[in-house]
Amino acid sequence: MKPSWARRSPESARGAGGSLQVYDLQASYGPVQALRGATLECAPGELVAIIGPNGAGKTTLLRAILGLLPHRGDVLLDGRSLTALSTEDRVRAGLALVPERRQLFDTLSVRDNLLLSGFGRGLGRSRMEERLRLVFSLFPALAERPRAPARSLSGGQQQMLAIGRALMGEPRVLLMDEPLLGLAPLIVSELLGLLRRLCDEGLSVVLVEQNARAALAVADRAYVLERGRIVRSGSARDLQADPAVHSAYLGGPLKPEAPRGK
Amino acid sequence: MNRAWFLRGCGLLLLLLLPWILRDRLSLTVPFVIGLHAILALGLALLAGQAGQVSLGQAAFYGIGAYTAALLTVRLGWDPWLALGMAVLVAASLAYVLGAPVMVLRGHYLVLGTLALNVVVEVILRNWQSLTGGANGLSGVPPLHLGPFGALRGTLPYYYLVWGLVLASLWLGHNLLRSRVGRALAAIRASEVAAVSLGIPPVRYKLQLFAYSAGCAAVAGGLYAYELGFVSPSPFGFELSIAILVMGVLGGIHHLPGAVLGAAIVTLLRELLRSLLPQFFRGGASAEYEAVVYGLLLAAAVIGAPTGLWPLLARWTRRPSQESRVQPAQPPLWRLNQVPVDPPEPARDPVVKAQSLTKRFGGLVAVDDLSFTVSPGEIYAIIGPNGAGKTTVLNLITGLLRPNSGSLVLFGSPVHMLPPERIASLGVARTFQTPRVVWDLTVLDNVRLGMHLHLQAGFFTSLLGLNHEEEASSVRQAGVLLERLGLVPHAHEIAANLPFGSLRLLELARALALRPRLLLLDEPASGLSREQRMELARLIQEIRAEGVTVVLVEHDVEMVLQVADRVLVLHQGRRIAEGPPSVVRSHPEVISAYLGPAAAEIATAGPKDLRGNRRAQA
Repeated sequence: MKPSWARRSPESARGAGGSLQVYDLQASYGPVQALRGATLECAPGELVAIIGPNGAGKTTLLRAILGLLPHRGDVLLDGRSLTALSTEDRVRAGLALVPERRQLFDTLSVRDNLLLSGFGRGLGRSRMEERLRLVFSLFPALAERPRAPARSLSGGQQQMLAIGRALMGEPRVLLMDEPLLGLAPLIVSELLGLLRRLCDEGLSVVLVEQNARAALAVADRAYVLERGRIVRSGSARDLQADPAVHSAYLGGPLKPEAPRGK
Repeated sequence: MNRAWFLRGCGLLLLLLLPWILRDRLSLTVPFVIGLHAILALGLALLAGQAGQVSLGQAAFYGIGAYTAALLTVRLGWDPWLALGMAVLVAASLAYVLGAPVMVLRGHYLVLGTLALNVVVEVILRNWQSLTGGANGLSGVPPLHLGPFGALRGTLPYYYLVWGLVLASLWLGHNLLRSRVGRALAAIRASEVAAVSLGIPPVRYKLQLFAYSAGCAAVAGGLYAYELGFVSPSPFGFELSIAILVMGVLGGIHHLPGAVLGAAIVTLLRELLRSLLPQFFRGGASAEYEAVVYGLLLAAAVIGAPTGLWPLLARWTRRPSQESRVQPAQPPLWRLNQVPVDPPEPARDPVVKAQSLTKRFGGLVAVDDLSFTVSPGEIYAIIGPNGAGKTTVLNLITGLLRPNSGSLVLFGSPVHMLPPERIASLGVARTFQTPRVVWDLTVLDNVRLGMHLHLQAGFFTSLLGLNHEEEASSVRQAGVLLERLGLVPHAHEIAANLPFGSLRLLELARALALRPRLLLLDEPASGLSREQRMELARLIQEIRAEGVTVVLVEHDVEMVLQVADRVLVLHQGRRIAEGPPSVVRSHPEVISAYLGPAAAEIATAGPKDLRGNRRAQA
């Protein structure tokens, strides 16, 4: 039942991760300031989680890092400023995003969705094929139907395709916006295991996740974002033990009648 | 008094005084024609901007209106007013008959249909000599008469008449957009799937709007004939339909006043070109150059002001903080009137009874010979790996998909042949995995969309704005739901501004507004914070306590185990387990296919809970 990649470490996934630094990032939607100066970093091979309530600005943070919306502050990849670059150039420099709500190319096939991403990064044919094999080995459900249009996949399979598409471009820093959304528990744990392994092999990952328990379980370090500001940061282990974080984001088993926190 | 009202007053004054300003210097014909074009463009703006259906037939309906009025008065000696009414009726009925087959096909087939209509009408007008007088046209069309004024001769009375009608159509259109029908149109434009799931029949509303816009064009045609006293085929050609489209796009197709602005600009430009171009190009080529200038104008508009000129103008006249579309209601008022929850009569029939349902997509069998029953008042969860067919089952229940074989009975009556809007009207509401809300409507209006089946106002009631009481009460009822889901602070925001989690709650509020007997939830907890999930779990139980049957598709196993009475586990379209949560979660096949042996450690679902249980089993 368990796919082979779950044990074997994907050789070709190995690549030098980049170091991402974000200084005092600010962004607004019209009059609403969604980011009020966020500073964070992600070292090569590090898995950094960002948790926080709904509407805290987590998605805005990732979109700003990728240059999808105008922002102030600085974004650096390996010490080089990306701030003046367009989104396309930031992607070419090595950033990749798994966007919220998937945003696939609906009418294109699974394979073409993947190839487009490699194409955008200027990969050659052989590296593209190699990369494709990697993604298909990660998500056997996709390998079964490479010619199916993306819109015909189930919701969870579309999520896999969005992740696969980001991995396809050999990113140096992978930005993930709620990648666990809509995935079955079995896939969730496999995906988190995979992320952990990719990071151990050098990829840098910034993981925005509503599911704080899962995110902290797999991350090296984490930031807590509230109302557009980083209010806490530290090693994932410390944050797991932090009573304030625990009561707000982790909690005990879900009980509808139970009062909030402890 | 703000700037917008001041400008409106100035505009009105200018319209009133224009005949005196122009007096003998220029003829009133151009302002009169602008008015006619404005009516045509307004009809198109409603159709294209609101229903998303582009028509290239406005000139044809304009011509049909003119010729019907002319023929009835000249050949049959009808009263001009009666003939005008008949012209509207003929154009609207023709639109209905032409539109019925076209609108059923989703997509942009109306463009093709109306294009053909334009050609056919032009050919008939030119070649059916005995009826229409061919290219020579019909002369001797009598003028309108108006009580004390007697026969209306000259351009002046028609100028006032046509601009009165322009203002009236602006008012009617404005009423329509703020009504139940306007919200339904917005929903159809945003997502037809969501619209039908709320019981909104898209074809009916598109057809009504198409007929209305044809009727407006016919009124303009009639006035044209009566003013001129003569009709000939040339003004009703295809170029006019294109010009009307340019007017709409240039002014801003989503903004009704934009249509008037566009009509004024394009008509004036046309006149200007007509007098200027012949000076540069001799020998009759100027008509072709006119088309080139239109093309350039359209290109410039689309590039420079993609949403049209009106929004630019409106931004200037309005202070940005002022959103005039929705008047902020008083939240405390909402509390006065609780939603009348008539508890549904306890049914004895199973709510859902599916037998041997099969759904294939090409070679893929998404649902494979599946039978299950959901009893009244139950919370029935469906779980399974990604691609197991869970959402397909929901789509089959709501009628969005038809099964290849098998039968489906809801509340004791077979439904497999019913369209989704009829199934919704049985009291079936749903939410979608990716929220399908209407992005450009406010949160409040999105919830009011859910009440579509419980509100009465039809097309004409909405046009005339005779729906105030119902609208006010729907705001109060929506307010109660918003409060229940904690969305009151967002009530007057555009849905596009909401964070993902709140969109889910908004969709749930909209589904509850339908007052469902059966509520289908597709991954309602995904994207919600822990706190919101707890709230949601509580809410689902509360909804059930009110007598609603709930079918829940969800990957948050912890929540499923918490709230569900029975759980169905699907794998590759087939049932691998069904029963109470305690049985299902320890089922070996469920663990190997879905939960995963190691999943419990870090998965979404309650690790402790599952872990503890497995140990207990072992």
